[in-house]
Amino acid sequence: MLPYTAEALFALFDEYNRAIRPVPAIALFFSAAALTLAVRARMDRSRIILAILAAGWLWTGAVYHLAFFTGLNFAAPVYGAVFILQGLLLVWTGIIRRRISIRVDPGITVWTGVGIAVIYAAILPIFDWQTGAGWTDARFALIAPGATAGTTIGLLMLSDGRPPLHLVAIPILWTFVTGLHAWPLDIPQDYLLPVIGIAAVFQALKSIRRRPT
Amino acid sequence: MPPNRPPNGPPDLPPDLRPDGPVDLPGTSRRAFVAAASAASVAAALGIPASHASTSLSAPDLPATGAAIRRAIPNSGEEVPVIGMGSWITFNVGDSSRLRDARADVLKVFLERGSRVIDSSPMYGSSEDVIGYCLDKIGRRNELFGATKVWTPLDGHGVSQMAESRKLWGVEAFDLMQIHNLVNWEGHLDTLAADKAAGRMRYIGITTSHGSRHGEMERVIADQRIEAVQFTYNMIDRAAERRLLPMAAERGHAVVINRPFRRGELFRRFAKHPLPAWSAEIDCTGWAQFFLKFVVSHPAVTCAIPATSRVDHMVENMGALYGGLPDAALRARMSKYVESL
Repeated sequence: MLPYTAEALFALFDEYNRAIRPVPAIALFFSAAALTLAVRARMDRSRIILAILAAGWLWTGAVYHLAFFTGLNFAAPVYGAVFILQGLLLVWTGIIRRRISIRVDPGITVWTGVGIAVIYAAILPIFDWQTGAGWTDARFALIAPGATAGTTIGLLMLSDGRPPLHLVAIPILWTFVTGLHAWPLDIPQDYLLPVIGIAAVFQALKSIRRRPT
Repeated sequence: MPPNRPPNGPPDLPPDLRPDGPVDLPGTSRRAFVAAASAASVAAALGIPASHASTSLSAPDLPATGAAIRRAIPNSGEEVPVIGMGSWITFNVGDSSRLRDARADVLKVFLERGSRVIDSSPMYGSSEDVIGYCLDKIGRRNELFGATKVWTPLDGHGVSQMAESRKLWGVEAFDLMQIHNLVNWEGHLDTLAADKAAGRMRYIGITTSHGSRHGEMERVIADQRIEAVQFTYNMIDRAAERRLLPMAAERGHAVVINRPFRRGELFRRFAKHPLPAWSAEIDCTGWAQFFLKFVVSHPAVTCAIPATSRVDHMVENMGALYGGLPDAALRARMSKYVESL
């Protein structure tokens, strides 16, 4: 049982989005930029894309969870620490070690990843906006946890079709946390995220079997 | 033996209006006729914006006649109203001024209708902060019987946590400080005793919401110097009748009951059925009052603490504070009726 209602959660997003203006617009811009770079760039822009994702995880952990969500949920400090860890892993693996190459090659996995990223970077915020009281109720990728996790899973599916397991573990875990929250809170648009998490698990397991020995 | 009745007779009370709309009660056409005001009128009478009251029902704005039902804490003789208010989930609304003001309206009804006992915990997110905000806004802090909890596995953290709770509520002392869900009760009892000696609380208690922990609670009740216990008891969860309630009564403890509606499940299961006509003998006009009066009519119970975020539901809950209470025979009849549904 969660210690808050959906009403309180979206009121929190309303307060949060207002308090951090114009960061939601900036987050929207950078989400679109990450997607565009992944799909259209001729050169490898992986480090930029991963830097954007890392910044999103670090922001969401430090600002959303630790500064805002902690007022509603006593588990928020743990969530914040996990999100910050994910941000640091993206910095280390993707930017410093350069172990990921994100690009769109033909294939169902890759286009599924693009689709997932589009859902969480663009469609979910619009859905929240339309079903809520306004744009301030929307959960934007790079500054809200579920949207950030979904966008990250989508973009990591573009990494040569083999996302590094240690980079998808936390986003996948978060999809299940969101799913567990979606049911008692009755937020139907969040039921999709654990489905995506399960798909990502299968994809990750498939990629383990495919790795050359 | 007729049900207990206060000398001034029962108030006329609104038909049940939760959770799925009006339920016509047999034999209540007179009450329905007498019931004239709408929920908006209740709100207006209390200076509450109509948008914060339910607009999907009509609840009469009839003053509660007769005295509020009170029960004495056996060890001290202090009387408290038998219906209080919990704040788990319902008052955890963060910094939203809109939602905080709506909760202030709920609390205003609660106090206006004669109740006093408010229960919270640091575990409940921003609930304590919101309660403090509401009390600041309403300005009736002196009427409060404040009950909160210490919730930390760390001995040393308890003192600062309780100090933080006092600050959030805006009080110098709590009436009741409880060890939440038995967490580190061994470590906290001495701290609480010291705080009590310093005048920072009046009663010490322990709580659980889990039937699986009743055994441990029994041991604490038997062996430790506490004055209050809080656990779950309702028309379905009646395990406490076997040992906890008699033990608490034997030791003169205050008994605070959480989850009297089983987190709303009692409404989901039973509110679609008609309230029995004989519930009018104890002035029930809705299922909330039926469920609550069953709970508080147990002789060992001091107070039940239903939680709500709605003004109309608070009005219904407060209806259980007035009128008759079932005696043993009627309690059995109530139980049998619910089992038959």
